[in-house]
Amino acid sequence: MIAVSDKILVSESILTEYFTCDLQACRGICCVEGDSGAPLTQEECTYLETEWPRYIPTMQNAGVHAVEKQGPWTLDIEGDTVTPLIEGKECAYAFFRDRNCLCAIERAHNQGVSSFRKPISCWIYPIRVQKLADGLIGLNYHKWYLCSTARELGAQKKIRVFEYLKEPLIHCFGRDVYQAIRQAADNPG
Amino acid sequence: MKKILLFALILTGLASCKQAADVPQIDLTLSKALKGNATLNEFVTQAKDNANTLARECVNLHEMAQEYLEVDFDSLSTEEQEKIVSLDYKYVEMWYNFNVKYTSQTIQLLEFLKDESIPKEELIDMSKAMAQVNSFVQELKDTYGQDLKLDPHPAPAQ
Repeated sequence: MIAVSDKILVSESILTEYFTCDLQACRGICCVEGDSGAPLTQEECTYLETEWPRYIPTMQNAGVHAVEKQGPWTLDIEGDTVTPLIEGKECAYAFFRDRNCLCAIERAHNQGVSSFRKPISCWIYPIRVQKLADGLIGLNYHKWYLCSTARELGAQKKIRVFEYLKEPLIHCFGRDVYQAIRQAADNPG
Repeated sequence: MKKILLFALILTGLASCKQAADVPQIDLTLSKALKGNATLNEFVTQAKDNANTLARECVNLHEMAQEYLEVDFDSLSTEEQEKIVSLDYKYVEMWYNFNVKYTSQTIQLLEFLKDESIPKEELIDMSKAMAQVNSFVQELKDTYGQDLKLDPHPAPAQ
């Protein structure tokens, strides 16, 4: 891990490995596969409580039923706040267009009806944010077999993980942290 | 005369009933909350009526097009070719007219979704009703398509 500020540690693979989502190949499978829903912060849970009705016209009927039954957010087996799932499969806020799995939350944001863009954990994936001791935050690279095409496309385009996630990294941690990550990546050792 | 007229009316009625039964229609049961909001009630009802009208038009035009679906266009007489082109045009026009309505309906829906003065319960019920209408329209698109492609040499759009 490399310290990029007094609070943030970054795993080396975020600086060196390549990544660019390839929706044409993966079809948004990360919204379908997995053991539980997308991790949510407390603030995001509050957003979902007030905003979710605005997503209904885009959501699947089964997704609407899942939210009505489980609530706009739920707890997984580890007690973490996550988005509800449709019968243990895709996220309740997922919908399908032309065989691609897309996000109703993001769609509503793009249409200007919701101020909430999407859960940070989805936006910043494949980075996973981990709270460490003494208020430290660890940024880890989650290397999932389902994202092999993203690694290939990233390598082809020479886009590293942190470069692909420039916008959410700046949104979450600020421009200074992003610059520090870039500097660490460009000046190894 | 009266008896004959009555008989004719019954026959007409049955014929239209048979036709109506073949047309897919969407029927929405509006919640109490939605019924209580005149604007949303009217909006949803209008969207449902537009979708049902489209369904009727789709079925009618599709029936008219059946006999032309498998024909060799170039071997037909000019008169028959003109019939097909005219039918193709009607089909494109039907979807165009609906899409114009659908776009303005979508813009209005987004305005309602942004409106924070609408109570949550009404917003949820309206959204659910519109989701049903949208899914019904999508089924019509999947079943009847937006283009019959009867005319193999369509004129480029002006």
